[in-house]
Amino acid sequence: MIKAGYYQVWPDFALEIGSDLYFEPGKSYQLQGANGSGKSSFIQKLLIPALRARKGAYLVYLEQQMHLQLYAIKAHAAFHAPGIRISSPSDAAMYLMQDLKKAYTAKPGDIYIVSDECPCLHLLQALKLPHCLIVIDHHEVLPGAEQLRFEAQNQNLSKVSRDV
Amino acid sequence: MNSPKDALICDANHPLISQCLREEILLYHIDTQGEAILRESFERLSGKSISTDHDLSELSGGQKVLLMLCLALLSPARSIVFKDLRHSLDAHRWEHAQRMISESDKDITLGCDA
Repeated sequence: MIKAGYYQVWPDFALEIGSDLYFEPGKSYQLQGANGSGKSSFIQKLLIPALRARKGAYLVYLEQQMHLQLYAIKAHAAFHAPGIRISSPSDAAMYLMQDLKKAYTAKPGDIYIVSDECPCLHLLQALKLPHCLIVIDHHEVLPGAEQLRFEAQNQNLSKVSRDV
Repeated sequence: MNSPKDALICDANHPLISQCLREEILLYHIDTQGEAILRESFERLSGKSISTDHDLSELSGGQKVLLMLCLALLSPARSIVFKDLRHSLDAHRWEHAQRMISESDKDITLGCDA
């Protein structure tokens, strides 16, 4: 849960969250707002630390412009699964989903999948295990997802609210 | 001198090379006059003002792509290929970006999602 309040996420940028935000397993959430309204900052500075603090939970985070992350996943695969070739975000997402399934089978736990404009969102949505999906996507509205709206008030402040 | 096949390739999946605007300006070979126009057009496009010492890692993903677009359009390159330009941009910014591209006298190709 992320409490309502004022968060200085960067030295010159803050987020004002109007009401407590809950992210529940089995539900989907979509972060909506213009470029620069603080969606990715919300994920990096508030959401990911909050999800990491949940004991026994699994977190898959596919970041925006994920080329560096892609190298990290390639390196992981080269070490742990040398036969698997990873050359695209789709390959990386599939590899992570397979790895997640293995880990979940061995030890079940809540699953949180966070996608910041991942070009292979459909692969994440197709996961058969119960999970909570949190998505930024400028081009599609996720059916059934709760909408969190980010509205820039000025260069230094955005307000975050839930669409009820 | 550029050969007919030379083109500046700008991939929105890797929009910036450095973390400082000053370095990007040097990489794109933009002069002092161009620098002022760059800052002005970026602010008009993104709503955010930046200085030459700005830490670019603090920009959002979409803002980085918008900055890449402004840098490329102000560079001396005659031909530019933009890859996946649309993906990170909201509808309003994409419309504005398309207008800037259509107003440019450069030879511009939009690749993949655009």
